[in-house]
Amino acid sequence: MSRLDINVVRSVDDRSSVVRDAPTESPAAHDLSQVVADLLADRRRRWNDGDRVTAEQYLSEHPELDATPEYAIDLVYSEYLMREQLGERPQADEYLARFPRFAAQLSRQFNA
Amino acid sequence: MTETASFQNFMSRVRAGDDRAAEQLVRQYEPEIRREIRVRLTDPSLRRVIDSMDVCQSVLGDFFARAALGQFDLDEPRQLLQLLLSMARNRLTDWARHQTAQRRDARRDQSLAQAVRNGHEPLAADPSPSRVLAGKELLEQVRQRLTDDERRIADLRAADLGWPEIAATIGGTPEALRKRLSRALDRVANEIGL
Repeated sequence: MSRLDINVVRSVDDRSSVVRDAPTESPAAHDLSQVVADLLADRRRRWNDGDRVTAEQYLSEHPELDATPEYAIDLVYSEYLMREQLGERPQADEYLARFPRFAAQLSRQFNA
Repeated sequence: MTETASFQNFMSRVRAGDDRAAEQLVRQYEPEIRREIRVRLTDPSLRRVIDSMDVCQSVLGDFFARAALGQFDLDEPRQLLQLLLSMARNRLTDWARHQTAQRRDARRDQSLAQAVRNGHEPLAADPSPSRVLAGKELLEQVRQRLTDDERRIADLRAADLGWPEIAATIGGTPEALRKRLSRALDRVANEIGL
């Protein structure tokens, strides 16, 4: 094989969905992706209004997200980023302690 | 083999075009890249036209091309992840800016992903359910736009020579040569819309 031949064949996601982005490609995943998108928008709105709803609250209100940890982690990590955007200095350790079941994935994302 | 040596061996295989190494890299780093994009893609109007898979594939294609031409000096997995996430953030910003400009112009009503595939996406536009990342065509396109001297540096790097060895071979300082290749690849990337 030539050193210039770097071929990585990827499956493509479902492009017919209104919200196209999802960690996995199933219709159910797209539904959950929409749920997460709505929650991110809801959080931004509520935080702007002074209501600091936490990732734990969202996860308890939407247990279906636990079935696909990728979505739950999105919700957690985005809270961390939102705090950074607000000028805070959130600590990775805090999030690892709050969400030990996602510690491995969060560690990779934070350490990068 | 130490972890560092193992990683450097892995990166050598990536640079050499080993498809198994490329697949391994995608498998290991794609989840974090896509998450970095998803959580920053909060504008509903952008979410309708950009998805993390498109951005991720574009980033990986760019990465594989530059890696094959010897641009990156990475000693450990964490540096690779940092690099890929940084590229993803920049790519998302570029695409969002592009989409915003398109909307402002109101000239076309098509998705950014499609627009990028039509005019800016460096990878082969493959309408089939399968897509190919970082292909031979892109690398050849980049190589052809390098000057002879730049291509020589890239080829020596692709052959896994370190910067001191390259400097000893063709003259100059290691740092100057590294910067020269980096600037050259940035120039070409800009020329072809990477």
